[in-house]
Amino acid sequence: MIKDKYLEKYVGQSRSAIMFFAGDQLIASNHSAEELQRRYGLDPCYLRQIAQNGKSSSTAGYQVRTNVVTIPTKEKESLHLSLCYRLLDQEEDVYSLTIRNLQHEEQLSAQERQHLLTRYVNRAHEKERQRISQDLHDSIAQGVYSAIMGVRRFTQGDLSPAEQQETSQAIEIQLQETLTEIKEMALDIRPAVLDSFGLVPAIKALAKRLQANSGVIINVLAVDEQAIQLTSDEQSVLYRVCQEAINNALRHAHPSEITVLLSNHPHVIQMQVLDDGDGFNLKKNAHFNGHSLGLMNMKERVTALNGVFEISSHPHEGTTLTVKFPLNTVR
Amino acid sequence: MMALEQAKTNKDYARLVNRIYHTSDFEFVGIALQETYYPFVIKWRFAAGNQSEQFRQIVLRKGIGIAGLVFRTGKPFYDNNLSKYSFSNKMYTPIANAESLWSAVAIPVASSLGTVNAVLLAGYRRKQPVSLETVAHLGEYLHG
Ligand SMILES: Nc1ncnc2c1ncn2[C@@H]1O[C@H](COP(=O)(O)OP(=O)(O)OP(=O)(O)O)[C@@H](O)[C@H]1O
Ligand SMILES: [Mg+2]
Repeated sequence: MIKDKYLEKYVGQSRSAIMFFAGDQLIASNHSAEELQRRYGLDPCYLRQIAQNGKSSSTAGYQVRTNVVTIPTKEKESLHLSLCYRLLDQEEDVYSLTIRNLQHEEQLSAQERQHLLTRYVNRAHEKERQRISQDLHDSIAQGVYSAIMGVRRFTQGDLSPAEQQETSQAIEIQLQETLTEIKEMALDIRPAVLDSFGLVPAIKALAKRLQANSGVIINVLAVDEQAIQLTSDEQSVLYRVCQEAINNALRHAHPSEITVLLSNHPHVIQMQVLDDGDGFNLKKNAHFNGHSLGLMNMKERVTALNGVFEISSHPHEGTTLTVKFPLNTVR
Repeated sequence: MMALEQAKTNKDYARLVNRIYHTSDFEFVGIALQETYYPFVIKWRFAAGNQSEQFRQIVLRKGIGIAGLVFRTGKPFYDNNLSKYSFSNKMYTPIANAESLWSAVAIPVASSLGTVNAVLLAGYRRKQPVSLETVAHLGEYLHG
């Protein structure tokens, strides 16, 4: 029948993976489904089980549509799928399972995007806590412990005046270093300069610190602070974007120089972060890569405040990130 | 008295760095010192073979990078292919970045009461692997 022929073609060519089950048996699947199985070594019954688990009691007829499901794969990345499991024939116990790989969908629904984003934000928060906890343990606790040992040596040991002098200086240095680390952590979590002195001093302090830690030159060229009339939300976002952009450049690009430009134009304030590093393929990083949220999160935060977020990058030509906020002059 | 003592050692360090640079095939030699006053910052004070003055901006952190690890542990460290470490890795060595070093070794030069306060580092920009032997070789300059 001609109808069947086109149906078969449509199913066969679909970007969505489609599988048919009779009872526990996989009885048919399209090309995308075979691809999915082969590439990621996924068991069809495992996928079906996940879909069934998403079933709620109120489901009329029999259809289950899952939210975003994240599945770890053999390679490090995870897969993000949305599954739709549907009863086709009750008597013969036949079901269809339609799987969309969200990585491949250029057009995610707003809800799906939001769902993915929330998940990444949560993960990033968790990662951040993990880092803070580890820093507290590795450097702060370690530093205090060393100082305690120093004090013990001072009080218990039979030290000459010269040794006493040396020991007390060693303890002081130890405590001072620990203090510096505490201050650095506080800066990382939320720079007080930002609240008390504004965006430009905060970015300059950040750049100076990252330059000292990395050995890479980081320039900040900024307009007069007075000229910048930004809400505190906009300031926070610009600061975070700048922090993430410099970190990205340092971590991924091997740059010899990074420049932050803050300029204001009539009705617009613009920030650019430029590096002369390796650059990268934007297309490949345009969607969720399963482990990072930096760029995605930055863009989301900027657009939430009516801003514009752009990146231009080419392999071997460095990267330029631009953020613009419309300025409301009658604030 | 104290100041004189300091000046003398500083001169020694400058000489040491130059002597190593001129009598070995290392392409960069540097010494990092911890300041003896608040806030006890650690910086590269002496260098030979440097390609820019950028190294002066670096503030070393104990436990991070080859030299930072020597400050923390008092033990020598060395590594090759230094650019493989990304910023945020404990082995990321800022001086390797500022001076385009491919490999480097670092050893403690001075310490008091178990805390290291000076570290000597030497390295290559070309792909010249370093090893424990290189560490020993660099160490000979301190006793010679
Ligand atoms: N300035 C840059 N130069 C070269 N590559 C970059 C740059 N910025 C981003 N990238 C590339 O884009 C990818 C995505 O960046 P993004 O900030 O979203 O994530 P990440 O830095 O890998 O992880 P996260 O920021 O969540 O810790 C990076 O992994 C990197 O490959
Ligand atoms: Mg990032």
